Amino acid sequence: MGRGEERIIMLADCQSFYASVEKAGNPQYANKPLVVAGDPERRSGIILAACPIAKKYGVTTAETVRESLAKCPDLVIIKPRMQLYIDVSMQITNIYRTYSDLVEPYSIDEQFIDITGSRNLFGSPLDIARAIQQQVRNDTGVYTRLGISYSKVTAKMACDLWAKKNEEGIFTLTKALLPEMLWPLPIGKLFMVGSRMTAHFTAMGLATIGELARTPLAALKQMMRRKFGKNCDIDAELYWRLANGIDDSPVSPYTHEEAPKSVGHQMTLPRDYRKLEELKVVLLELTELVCQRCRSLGFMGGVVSVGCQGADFDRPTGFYRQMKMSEPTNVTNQVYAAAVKLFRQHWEGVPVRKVAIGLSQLANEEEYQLSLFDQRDRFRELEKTTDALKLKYGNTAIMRAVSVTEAGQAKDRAGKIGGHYK
Amino acid sequence: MSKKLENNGLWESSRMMLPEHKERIIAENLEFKHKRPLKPVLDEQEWEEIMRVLMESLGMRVAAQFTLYHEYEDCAAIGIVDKVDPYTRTFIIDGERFKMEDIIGANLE
Repeated sequence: MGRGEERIIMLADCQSFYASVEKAGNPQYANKPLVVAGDPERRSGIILAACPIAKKYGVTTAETVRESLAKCPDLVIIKPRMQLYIDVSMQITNIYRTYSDLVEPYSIDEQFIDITGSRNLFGSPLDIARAIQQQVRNDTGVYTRLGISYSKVTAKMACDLWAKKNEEGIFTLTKALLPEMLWPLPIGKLFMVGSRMTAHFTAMGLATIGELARTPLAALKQMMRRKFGKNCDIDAELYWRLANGIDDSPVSPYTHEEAPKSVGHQMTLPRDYRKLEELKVVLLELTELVCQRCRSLGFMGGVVSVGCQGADFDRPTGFYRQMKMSEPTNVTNQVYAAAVKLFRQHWEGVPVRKVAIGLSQLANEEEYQLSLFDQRDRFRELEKTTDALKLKYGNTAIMRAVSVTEAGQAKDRAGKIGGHYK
Repeated sequence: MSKKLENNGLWESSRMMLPEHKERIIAENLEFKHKRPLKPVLDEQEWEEIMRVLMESLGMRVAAQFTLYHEYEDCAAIGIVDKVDPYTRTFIIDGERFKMEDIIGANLE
């Protein structure tokens, strides 16, 4: 990029990632419709990934297992193995890394690769894309689709809008192609534009990506300000840049190492919790996880946030509130006390389906204001020990007594990654 | 300006990463970075030899080759040393300035 040269960036996306990994591991199902789905008993029974054969039957991700079985009775349903998917994703990262050192994972199945400096070694972008596709398929059984372009956002759209749909699974979107290829598309196809923004833009008279791109930025800012009744210049500029394919973001391989701004955990409960006693158990367990992660990162949090979501999706209830604590801490009991206080203030007694806890305004745990009646150091010693035990023998090695009550979820959660089975 | 419009902000704010996946990436990156050997520690004799080559090249106007440590890959500086600056601890070959602390080997051409 240094010499004003145009970059060449790829977004590689793995087709039906979880399902493809399972198919590679279970060759007997190669020609059968297969889905990876959560546990219906624990209400996480939705389709996480469906293989292309299952998709032909009309099975889509995020629908319930029951709905998909109605469409396709001889569906093979497989329990997720999250750790395996992470391992395969890393294996794929390392394949990309043989082509360029600039590889940035964007999610478990999508990664950016900057191949600007790799052409002398590996040939044209198209050659590299084909080689990558071939090698990933050989090594892992996963089919990748690649969008090739001059920026991350256009590479992402090249992949989502065309590479996923064409025969070859590769599409190159150049700057010159934007007016002809991208701009005639409906506004909803633009990256970051969901169903709500589609409705807003359509109401503003911007039905296609081109109409948004050709609106002068200053006019767009005014239009959006009028529409939403507040200053939203930043969002206006963001959408305008996306529509014009402007994105200077670098492909940064070490982006994940930057210190987090907040640490949080949330959990969908296996049944609706109605009593404060039960909810306090999960609040404590989630607080423990959040504080444990903070301690391992060497942070203390100054602000605690608590959220919950009601059981009835059609009549949404719940809240998400935060509070500054008297002093930053990562001691479970201190954060828990604040979280419970906050929860009691805002909970209206309705059944709860989902609980979330977070800590933000993170500060280094080595530097803090001493206070006269502080017991932080004693707690810290204790938790250092329990954390070490958990690190060595797993999160269930030592638990709070409430976690073995009926409401406790710690044991179940310890066997999961991202809410799904390891 | 918002963070979303700067640097990698757009992608950092929109990505979906499992914490376990992130930890794994960080751990492997560490390995990746550490593949490069650390800068060797030179003993006095080696330093003396490097200094001798440096001075001889400067004084006698003969070409020398210096191996320089770099984060990614060792580099070489080849040519006649035009100047040695003891205050900034740098030396100049063909108008290009190098740090003396980067030198890990030297010999006369």
